[in-house]
Amino acid sequence: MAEIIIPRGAFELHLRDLPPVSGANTLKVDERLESAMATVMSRGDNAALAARIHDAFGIVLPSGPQRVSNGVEAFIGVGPGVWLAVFEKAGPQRASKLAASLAGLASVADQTSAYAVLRITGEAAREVLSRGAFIDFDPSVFGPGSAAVTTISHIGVSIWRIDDAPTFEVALFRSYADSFWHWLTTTCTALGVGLVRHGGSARI
Amino acid sequence: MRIPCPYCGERDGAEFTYCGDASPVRPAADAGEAAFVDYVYMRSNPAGEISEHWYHGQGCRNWLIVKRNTRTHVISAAMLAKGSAP
Amino acid sequence: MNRLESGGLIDRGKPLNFVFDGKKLAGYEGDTLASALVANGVRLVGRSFKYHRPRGILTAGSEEPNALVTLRTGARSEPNTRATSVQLFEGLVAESQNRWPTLGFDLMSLNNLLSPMFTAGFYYKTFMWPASFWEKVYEPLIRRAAGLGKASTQPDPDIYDKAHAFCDVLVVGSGPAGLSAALAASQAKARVILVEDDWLLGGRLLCEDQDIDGAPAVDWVRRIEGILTAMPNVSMLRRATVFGAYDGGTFGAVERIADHLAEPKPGVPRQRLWKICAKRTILATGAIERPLPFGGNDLPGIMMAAAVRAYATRFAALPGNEIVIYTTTDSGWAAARDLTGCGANITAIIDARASAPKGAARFAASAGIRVFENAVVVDASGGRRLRSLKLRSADGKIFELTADVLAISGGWNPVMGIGCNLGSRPVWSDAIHAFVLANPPAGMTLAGSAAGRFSLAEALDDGHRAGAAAAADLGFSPPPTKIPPCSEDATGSMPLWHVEGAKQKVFVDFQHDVTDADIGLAAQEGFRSVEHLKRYTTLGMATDQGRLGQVNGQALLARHLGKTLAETGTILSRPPFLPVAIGAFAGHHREMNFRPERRTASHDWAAENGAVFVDSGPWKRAQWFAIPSDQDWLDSVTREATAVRASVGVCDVSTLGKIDIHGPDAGIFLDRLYINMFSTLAVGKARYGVMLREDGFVLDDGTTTRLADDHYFMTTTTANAVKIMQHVDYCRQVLWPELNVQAVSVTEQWAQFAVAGPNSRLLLQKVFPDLDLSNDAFPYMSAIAVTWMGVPARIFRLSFSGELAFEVAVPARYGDALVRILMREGRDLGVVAYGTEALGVLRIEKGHPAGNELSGQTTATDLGFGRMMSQKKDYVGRVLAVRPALTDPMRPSLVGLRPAARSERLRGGAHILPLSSENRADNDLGYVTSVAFSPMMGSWIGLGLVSGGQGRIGERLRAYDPVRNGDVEIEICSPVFVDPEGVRVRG
Repeated sequence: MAEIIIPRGAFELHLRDLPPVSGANTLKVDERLESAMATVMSRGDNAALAARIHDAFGIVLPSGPQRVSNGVEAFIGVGPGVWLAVFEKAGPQRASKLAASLAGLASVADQTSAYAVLRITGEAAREVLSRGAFIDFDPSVFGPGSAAVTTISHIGVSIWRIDDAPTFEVALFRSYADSFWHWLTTTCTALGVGLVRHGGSARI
Repeated sequence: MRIPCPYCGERDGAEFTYCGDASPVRPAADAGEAAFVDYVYMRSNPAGEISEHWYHGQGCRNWLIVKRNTRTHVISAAMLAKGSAP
Repeated sequence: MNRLESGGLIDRGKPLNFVFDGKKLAGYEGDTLASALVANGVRLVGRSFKYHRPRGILTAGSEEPNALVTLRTGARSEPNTRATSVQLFEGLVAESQNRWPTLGFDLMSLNNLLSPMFTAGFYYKTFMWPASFWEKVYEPLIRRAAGLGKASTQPDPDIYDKAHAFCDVLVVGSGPAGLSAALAASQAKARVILVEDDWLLGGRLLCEDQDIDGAPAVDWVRRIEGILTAMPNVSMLRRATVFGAYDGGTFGAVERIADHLAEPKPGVPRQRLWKICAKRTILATGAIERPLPFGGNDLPGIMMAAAVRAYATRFAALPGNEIVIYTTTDSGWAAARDLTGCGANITAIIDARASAPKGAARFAASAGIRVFENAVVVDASGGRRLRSLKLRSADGKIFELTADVLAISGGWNPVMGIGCNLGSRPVWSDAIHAFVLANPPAGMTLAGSAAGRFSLAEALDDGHRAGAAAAADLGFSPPPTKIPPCSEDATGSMPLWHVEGAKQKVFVDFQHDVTDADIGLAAQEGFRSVEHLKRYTTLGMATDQGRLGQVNGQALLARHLGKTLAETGTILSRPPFLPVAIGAFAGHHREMNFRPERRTASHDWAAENGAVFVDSGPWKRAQWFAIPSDQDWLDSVTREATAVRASVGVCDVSTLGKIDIHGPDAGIFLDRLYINMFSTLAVGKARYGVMLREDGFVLDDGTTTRLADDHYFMTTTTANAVKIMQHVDYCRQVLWPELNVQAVSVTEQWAQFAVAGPNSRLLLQKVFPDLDLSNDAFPYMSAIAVTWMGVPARIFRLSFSGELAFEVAVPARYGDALVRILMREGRDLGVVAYGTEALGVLRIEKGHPAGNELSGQTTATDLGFGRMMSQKKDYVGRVLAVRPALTDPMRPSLVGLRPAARSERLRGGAHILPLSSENRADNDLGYVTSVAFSPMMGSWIGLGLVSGGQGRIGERLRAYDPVRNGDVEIEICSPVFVDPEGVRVRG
């Protein structure tokens, strides 16, 4: 069969309808489709695992709910001895390569398709997210590199903050994308915030 | 209510599932039926501090032992169930 | 018009038109509906609950028991809205309630004449029997006579929103104490949230002629408001009510975003529900004035003194031209001074205390006001409005005064409702004659009037100290601040609970028409507890929750019992402090967004192909795919099931729970979870497994595959996916933490499709041409991981239908692509898409138990899995599964059912009874769990749990269904209807 199959974004149809231009009081959103994700679960020796990851990626594996990134790869703490690895511009086999490189130290489960990841950038991002999540997003508490696993509108989400823009990423199980989109759009409307598509690629 | 998850920090109670008294310990495989009946069905109902299991299913997915006062609802401690004695 | 020409916080440049009971009236911006009614001289605003007595506006705040109106019309109409809390807007329409046919002439006021019948416990005593009369006669009658407003029956057109907030210090109320507290805490750099019920900050300062820092108090309010607004660490919620305190420093609040508009702007919510998490809380919620007891104390024109003062000073509206003040407090005199300052005509002041406060005589003399000291009002009279009152001096002399307004002031009750939500009990203070919250919950402080410190100077000081202390407690450093000087404000008072010799009814709870006689009767009948008093007399159970009358009633009970209020105590209040619309709690979760839904990767494809979706837990699953030639759903389902048995079908099975189990001890771990062995399973093989609960009943079932030595892939039923993930976490974290096992849900990672039917191999071979899927290379219960067009894929040879079948999984992003390719490649094989109904038909034909049989009441043996229970290992449920009651051979167990007359239909849920028996529970042998029309058998077939199941095969029984009038003779048979030898599946 001489055909190629293309991945389908969970928010694809919603994002297609958004205007691409940003104006006053807007929030830029984009679905992260070029990254690979995996759950990395320590097999017990966290120190050895951290050393292996540091050797491979130059990343200091966080021991709490934080995100540590080297610009391409990032590890996000989601539980004791459990991390979400996010690799930018990585192919569908990335998770199995990671599994091989961490063999014996960690169990790795490919989650590239499991999560739909929305990148949200803009002044209003904090207020919009706090409408849904009972998490303190005050910059003094939830600065860049902070991460939390929680719920928004009864939907399980992992949220991490990337930068000072501020940019957040929200990862949720892809089957919930339509319900999450409903929450996001009604919340933005209530706040008078417009949603626009991300123009260029944001800093990682 | 707020539960201080040892990993995630203090979180709203809605993220957790209440899973009952944490003190019963599963008997040894050969302990016999009576021991298992006790383990499955018999619970004390203290007026005061109790150790309970709460599952942080909408967070770090850990089973916690939460020390709660049944009279005041005050939560004095929470720890990961893994590696803790109830 | 009763509007003053100057003064007040209304904007005379912005007139607003509104309609009350069909009459066109006008007010100004800055008015409440109540103040506009006062300004228009409207006296009568409602009828009471039980006696339908005429009632006027009593208060100027949210404690109002009388002036309840139905606000707006049509879908937005809202009953029981307090006119005193409604900010006036252009075009407002309000109707009075509880009157028929009109407010002025109300037929039900006949109840007033029948009042000897309507005493305490009236409902309990009168409508006792016969019981059958309750639903049909008594209840509708009572509801019509005693109802307050009527709710709209149309859907709520408004939207509601939810929000969360965190702060160091939450300040509830923005009167002098609240502002002072917010200022002190925020200047210490604490994060502060200030919540105010009103649309203006200031509380009592808006309604009293006071000075702070040498200038009118309102100027001080504006200055502090400006400072707080400029601070980045302060958030202010106006038009918001903190309605409840919950465990761990969380609070519920409702913000009325658009209630002051005719309707919300498009997309903007009407109200927003806030969950606030605060480290410290300061309740600066003020105090509510107590009414005084005398006959006819509910007549329109009798108002709380603080309310008359508020209408005059804040709203520049005078409720009458001939005002008499009746007080037991110094604040009654302060009201008189402010009223005189506004130009009101006060004819007399009656002070029940032995002597009026210092300086009172001089003030009264200069204002030409007659003063009665040591005198009580006995009765007030008038028809639908106050005309005169009778008072009695200490020496027994009776005086009669004419008046159109009687302003009453009987002391102050601190507002501490949400302070009691967590169980802190108010205690009586003899010093201030009021209940106070001496032991508020941890982290909460009361300040100002809410703490029983009623003077302005105390409020400013108290607030400041509470704000600074809360901040300091959290490690902030409050800067030294000067508390501003303010006007003097005497707070003396004397409680007065009872008057002798009243000819008319003395009301304690205005809205519920509870009188002093009702309290007396309750005491006489043996009610001793304030909680019982409340329920028996309905004292404090109206929409105002007893904020006016509760303490007065409790004092009367104490008096009857010969006890003190300190001994009888008061009740605790529960949330909500004020009624909160259900819509605010629901937020955007209504109609199709009632709960989040989950859609599979093939959802859009399914919708394009006629899928009718069914809720399966939170998932939307295709139930069947309708094509134009199908007459009805049964046609579709039969067509799909037939095609699977004849050729090939495709079904999305992605919703099954999928759990990756990793680690060196994964095999041992699964042995302990399942009744059968998994550690012995070869890599590349799948096995069906059953899990029990520790009590021995079946928890779940599914197929688990070994993908590597240290990696298993577990599947669960759709319904139990979340529960099993929790169970797996329990077993590895709590039961056996020593096992080196990791587990994570991968349900969402894989889109998985069943490809079933005799032609399934042909179809798969077209999509995966490089694979050898022959029986030898890939036998039943095999699994393989492959790369398909560059992406990881897995193929399993599993069958739920009993046919030759496979399941194919790809990452969910490619699920849409895969299903389209499968359907395209299968076109010449006649491939069908099949939904959950056909899936059900196929599994019932094969006798596979599913959700209906895994009911939590069945054992592995009941379902025919007894032989799978391993004797070689321990597992969850092993010990209790062999208890005598769980191994009783007469337990209901799984069998197949067919109607004796093949044309008859079976119904799920029907009870199974012997052929000739009475329809009684003790003849019950079991019930029908699942039914389907079987295309293979050409009739309805079913599965059931029948006592002594397998032993009854061949027996004739009946399926009795009283709900749907069914009584069908059935034949018990093997649950496996199709291919009992299992040839097809291995084909």
